[in-house]
Amino acid sequence: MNTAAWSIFVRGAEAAVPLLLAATGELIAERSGLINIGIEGTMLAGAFAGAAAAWWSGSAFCGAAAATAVGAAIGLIFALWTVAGRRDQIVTGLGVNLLAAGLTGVAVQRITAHCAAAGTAFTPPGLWEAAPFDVVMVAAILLTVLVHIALYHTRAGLTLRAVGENPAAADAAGIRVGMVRTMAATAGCAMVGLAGAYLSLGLTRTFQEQMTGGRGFLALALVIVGRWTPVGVFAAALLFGLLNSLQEVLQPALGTHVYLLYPALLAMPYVLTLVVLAGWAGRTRPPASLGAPYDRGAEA
Amino acid sequence: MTAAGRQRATALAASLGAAAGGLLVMLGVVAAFGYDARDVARAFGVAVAGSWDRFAAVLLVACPLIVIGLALTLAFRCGVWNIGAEGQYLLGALGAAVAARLLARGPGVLVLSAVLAAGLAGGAVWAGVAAVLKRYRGVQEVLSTILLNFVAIQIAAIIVRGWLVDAHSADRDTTAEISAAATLSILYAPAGLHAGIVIAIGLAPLLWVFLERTTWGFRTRAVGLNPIAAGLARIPVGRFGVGTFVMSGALAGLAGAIELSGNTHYLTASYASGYGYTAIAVALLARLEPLGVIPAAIFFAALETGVRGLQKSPDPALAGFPTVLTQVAQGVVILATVMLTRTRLGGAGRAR
Repeated sequence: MNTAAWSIFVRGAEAAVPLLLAATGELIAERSGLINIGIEGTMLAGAFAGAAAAWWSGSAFCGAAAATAVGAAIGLIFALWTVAGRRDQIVTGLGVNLLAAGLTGVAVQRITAHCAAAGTAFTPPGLWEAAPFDVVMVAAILLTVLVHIALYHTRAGLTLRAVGENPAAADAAGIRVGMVRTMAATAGCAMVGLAGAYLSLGLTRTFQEQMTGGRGFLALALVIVGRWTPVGVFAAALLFGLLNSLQEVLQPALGTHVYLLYPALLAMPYVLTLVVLAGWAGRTRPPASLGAPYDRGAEA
Repeated sequence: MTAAGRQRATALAASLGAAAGGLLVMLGVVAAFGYDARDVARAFGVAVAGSWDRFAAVLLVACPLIVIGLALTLAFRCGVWNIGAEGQYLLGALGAAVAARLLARGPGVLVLSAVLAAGLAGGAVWAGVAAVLKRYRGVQEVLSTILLNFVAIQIAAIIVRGWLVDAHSADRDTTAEISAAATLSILYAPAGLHAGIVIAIGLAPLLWVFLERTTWGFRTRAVGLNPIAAGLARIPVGRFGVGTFVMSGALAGLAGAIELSGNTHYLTASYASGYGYTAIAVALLARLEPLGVIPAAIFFAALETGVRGLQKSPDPALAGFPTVLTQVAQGVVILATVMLTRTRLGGAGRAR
């Protein structure tokens, strides 16, 4: 393989990492019956927390750990609303997204102003300088394998799937449905937070307002495209990452029309996702209880 | 107090509590980041009750929020999770701009009607895509409408730069101003308040009558509350889902046309405003009651106006004040509303 093609592949794989981490995290929550559209905001909060903690501590790993912790905390809040409170999952997710966008936007403005006053820039240390290989990419792949094994070859995975498919039956079998869902939301969002850190400490070394740019929503779509399986999600994320780097290849080909046609390239991932969903979504089956709060005694 | 009256009082208290909570958390964030919370509180107070001029400026921002808020109220009451108002609003504005361009000359009433109708059509088409994807391809509208928002932004950029662009503009990123015939008349010049506010406020009681006093509206609500029961009662649930979705998109598109025709008068390649997302908070704070949408929209418009005013303040400590702050309030209001509401918003059974 020649070096140009290899570098396109590497960039595509890198673009796939945040999608893979976020989609696998969402997959864990969805297999327990929770649909969390708040992962866009969770990823944004992770990106900010990662950049801020790494900048403050001087360690990219510290940043990644903080992003994971912030993600988990948001997952816990989401579970407080949707599991303990049995509130609507879509509305709660929307609230999380707006809150995260607002808080990170205000905070980054403050930090940037602080840095400017000190004559420096808000540039956290990067992940790639901190280790000889792409630690988060390796972690993302290992986590996917781990989630696959856990989901299909362990008792915990069976429990998780049972809760997502039939919470009433799981409850009758002595499984604590609320506890399982809370843990699934927390663990899933921790992965989404780490995905955010990869954006602000790996792909770039900065934080900008709205820097996730819809990646969280794409990850939601990838869970459907990957048919709620870790292997499917892995393939879908890699494909989308490669398409993303194709975008970079196509850009010079636009020549003088770049100003006019660049928006078409930017729209491409979303159009493609919609096309794939249109051909695919009707033929897949989500976890049976997805989106429905579990109310003991109220459900058949 | 009757049971219904008590229920209404509780609902009102929950909305007021959510709004107050949103405001307080926002002020807390302001203080936590080292700004003076009193500045923000004062800006908000002045925006709401400073003078008629200030209030008219708030109404100017409230106008699109009311219309989109009503659009979303309609959709949510039918159990349709239309998160795509942002894109529908954008394509409505785009449709209106195209109509204004094609009909530059002509009798005023006709041109204006065509511009507003093009807005309705633009929004309806964009919502129609998601409605068809849902009904015939099984794609959940929550996801498709969000993705379509991102596509709409780029479509608008291409059409503005490629077709509607004002050849005289320096950056080739804006359209020419629409002709005078295509503009809504100005009601109060000092604030630029236009006739769109009359349309917006007039639509609220119309939607109330539709939902509460017509058979069609009753069926729409029935589908939202329980699609299975509605189906057993021989209501064509699928067709209601598509029809309401398209109507909701048309209303959001109308908001875009009104904003173009009354306020901005031209489009830019990056015209997206975030109103489509703010309006979700408006509709939820109004607890999906059409008449409640007006005060809820005014609340968020006052926050927006107040924070924008701060950014322009001559005080260097406030220059560059982050306007995203309003999203903190929106997020808190949504989370508080949904927590304080015992019954599920948007009906019990979302059609899958």
